[in-house]
Amino acid sequence: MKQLVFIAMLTMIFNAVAQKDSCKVSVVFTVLDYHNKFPLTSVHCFIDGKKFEVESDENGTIRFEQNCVSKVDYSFGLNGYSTEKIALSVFKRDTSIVVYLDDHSSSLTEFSISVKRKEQAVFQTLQRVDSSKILESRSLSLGDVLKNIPGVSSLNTGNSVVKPVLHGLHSNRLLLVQHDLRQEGQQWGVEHAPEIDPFTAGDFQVISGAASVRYGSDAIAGVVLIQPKKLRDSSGFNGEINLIGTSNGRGGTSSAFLDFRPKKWNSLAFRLQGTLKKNGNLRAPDYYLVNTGQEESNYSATAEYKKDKFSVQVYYSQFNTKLAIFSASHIGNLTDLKKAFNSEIPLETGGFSYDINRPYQGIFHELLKVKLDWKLNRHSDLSLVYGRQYNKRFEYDKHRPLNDSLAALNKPELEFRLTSHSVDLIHDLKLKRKVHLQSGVNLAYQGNTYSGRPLIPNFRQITVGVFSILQYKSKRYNYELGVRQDVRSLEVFKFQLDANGNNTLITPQYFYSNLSFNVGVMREWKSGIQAKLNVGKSWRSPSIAEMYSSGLHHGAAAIEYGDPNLKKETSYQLNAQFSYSGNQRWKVIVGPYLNIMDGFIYREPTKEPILTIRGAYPGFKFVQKDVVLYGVDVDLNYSINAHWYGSLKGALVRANERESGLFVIGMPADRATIELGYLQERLNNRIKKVKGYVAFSAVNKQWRVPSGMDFALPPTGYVLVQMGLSAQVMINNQPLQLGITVLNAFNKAYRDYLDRFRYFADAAGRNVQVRIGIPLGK
Amino acid sequence: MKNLFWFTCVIVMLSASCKKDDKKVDEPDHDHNESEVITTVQLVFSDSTSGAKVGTFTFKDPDGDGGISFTKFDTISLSANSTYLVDLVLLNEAAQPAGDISKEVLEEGKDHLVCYTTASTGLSVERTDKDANGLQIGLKSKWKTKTNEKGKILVSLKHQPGIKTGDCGKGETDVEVDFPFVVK
Repeated sequence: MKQLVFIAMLTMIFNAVAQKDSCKVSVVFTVLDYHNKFPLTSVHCFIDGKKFEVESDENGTIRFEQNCVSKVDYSFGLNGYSTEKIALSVFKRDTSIVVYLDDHSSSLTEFSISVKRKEQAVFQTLQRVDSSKILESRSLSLGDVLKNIPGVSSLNTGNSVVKPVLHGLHSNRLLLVQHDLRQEGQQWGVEHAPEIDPFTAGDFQVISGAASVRYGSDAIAGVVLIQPKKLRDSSGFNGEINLIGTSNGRGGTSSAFLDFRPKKWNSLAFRLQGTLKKNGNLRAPDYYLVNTGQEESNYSATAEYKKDKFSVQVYYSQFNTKLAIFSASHIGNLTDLKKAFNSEIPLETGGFSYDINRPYQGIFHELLKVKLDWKLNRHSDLSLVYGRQYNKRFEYDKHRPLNDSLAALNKPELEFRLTSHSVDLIHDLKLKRKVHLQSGVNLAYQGNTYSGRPLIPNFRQITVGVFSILQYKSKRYNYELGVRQDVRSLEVFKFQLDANGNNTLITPQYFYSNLSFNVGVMREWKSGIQAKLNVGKSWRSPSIAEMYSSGLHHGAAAIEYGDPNLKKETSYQLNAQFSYSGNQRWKVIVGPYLNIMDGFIYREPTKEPILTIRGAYPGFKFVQKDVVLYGVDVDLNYSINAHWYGSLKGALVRANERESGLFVIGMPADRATIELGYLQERLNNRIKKVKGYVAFSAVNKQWRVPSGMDFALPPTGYVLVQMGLSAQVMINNQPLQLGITVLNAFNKAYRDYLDRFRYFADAAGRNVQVRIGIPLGK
Repeated sequence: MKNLFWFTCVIVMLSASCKKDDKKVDEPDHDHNESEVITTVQLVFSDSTSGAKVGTFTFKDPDGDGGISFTKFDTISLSANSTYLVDLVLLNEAAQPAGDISKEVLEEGKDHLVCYTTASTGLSVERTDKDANGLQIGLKSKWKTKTNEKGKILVSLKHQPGIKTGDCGKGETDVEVDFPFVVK
């Protein structure tokens, strides 16, 4: 008996001792900038006064294993920011905490310790592009950067023109906001890529659901927010030169920026930035894609003045590109089209060349932004943003003018010029971290003119929007209510043949006045589960192309007819996001959505081809139907151990006409990407931040298409393999960022359903990209 | 004070830029490169022996390859067992006076080829003109009919700058009209 008790006691003591030693929890701190919520890298962490060897990574994360002790003091520091101290009683379960560091960029803001669960605005089911993915894809295109977010795919015209698609919607239904301004170009065009240089930005977020209340009534799919990195705080200069070479197209990109804050007038800060890009003909696995070269040169400059209660920022950017259009895709009439579809290889093949020949597109986009900010008092802010954008697009067709002397002038067959002005006045009221009321007025003016072929007419459009968003945080729940009213006037100027056969000027006018709203709620549980739910209504007036397209659209190999009697589109949406991040190993985000659209506008083929002097062409007319769209995005991350990780990203989109049940044309196919990778913060004294990965992307055949509405059947599904390796290497005491990425590693021949070149040729084959980032200054 | 200064700057910039673009929107472009549009294709038939004009058959599309539909599309009506000399006339009737495009095609004959394709065996077409390099053009042709028949004949003008060999598969199509025909 006595022995039993002794053994029992020993066991208990053993257990107690063992438990004491073996009780460990994982702690993950995510360090963000207090003002813009951007992740902060290289933040030092001190645990009970001792410096922890690991600094925060590119996502602002520091993770480590902590014994279950009663109290620990943590302290976080970074150059330019005030140190944050946190005292924690370490829980018995894994902990995930967000820490905010303040750089006092707005002096009247409360400076306090904020230890709370992941804080995000409710209306946003938002996702952010991972910084390592930005580095890999920014030399490709903006669309390629955004594709890293589950739910975002792309509408391509070859590999050079990439338009982001969110939940099946794009162009006029997906708003791009860069540097606080709505991107205004001829975005109705399926072959018009967004005129934005990814190198001007440091942060890419996708907000899905009715974010239209804040940015504009027509953001039906959502908003893409493209924001620059903050300017430097301390005096001095710093910058970076990036050199990138790509094997497919034998291309090169060089981009550099320089930030400067003068010592003497240190309320001023500047940034100069530029990008140059050039590549020649791309190559599909079996042949060259003749005439697919590209040239791009972009510049931007920022100047900022900041004092106690007032700041002003001026930003100017210019985007210039000359893009050759694959000549075998610029087909003429039905006879030629049928010949092209029936051919295994494109009708025109050739070798490599840097030449940009007809047909080609030229785009010039100029943006000027002036932003004024006032701290009215402890609780409220006022900002005024003025923007001007000038977008000029010219198209040089394959067909030169018949007359040789006219051809010698080398004028574009078509030129559009779109001028947009906007003024935003926004007021923010923040009370006790519980209430945030944002109200604003947007004024927008737009004027369009053209020369050459009259594809779309001249127009003038004026829009006035008034909105208000109220956010309220209670203990467990976050609530949001947003309301917006837009009033729009559109005046079109065009010549029309009257009854007598004379050309007369007509000026039809349109007037729209509608409400959008959004209601959202978010709840977090201690276990690390978070749920967000959003319900809202938004609307979109028909675009000028949908109403007034007339004639041969070379890029689409079709004659399009607009319908001036189209009515607005209305969208009723439900967006949800469920995430789990309580476990040290797993991080899961699932985002289902439902979008009921009345009056969805799209192109339907005409019963017969259209006979013209050049032959028969496929005809399309814009029609309006009630549809329903729904789907789900999935983002799973699993930490296998301290170094290895695995992830799965996937998206499904479904779209049907409500009355007939027919599939809606032009929706992205189901897709998933599996990635396996290795991370090492520090390899040795010279090599840090090592990352290596291999990713498999599978895209299904899009069989959900209406029959008889397309030139050719959708292509088969495909799997592409991508690999990457990157690290920071100290050379001559300079930390150089080196990287190599291989896209389409196995040189697979494939065609994507949403690539308009799929009728004529395979997509680009293997591409090896090598990158060097050289820092300047300090 | 400083704030007021910036505010005024913005308002001034706004109003100044607005005015500049306003005017042009109200005045849409008239010049649609009108000299370049081919609106009318005419086949003028003459008797091969007498030279007398027998008929003219037309396809007319007022905006060329634009969205407006064609306004005239004749069926070629010929007699059996006959031979005709045919002139192809291309006009731009959107211009006042109408522009003669076939004249330009003739001047740049070594860059153009007119192709006549038909599946029917009862009608044969032979080009009779030549360009500076000795290759056929096709603005002038000889048509031979046999027995009663109905069918279609595709008349196309190919632009082949620097690549003309006599092959109809090359170059860009400037004109393509599939004329129905009747031989009786």
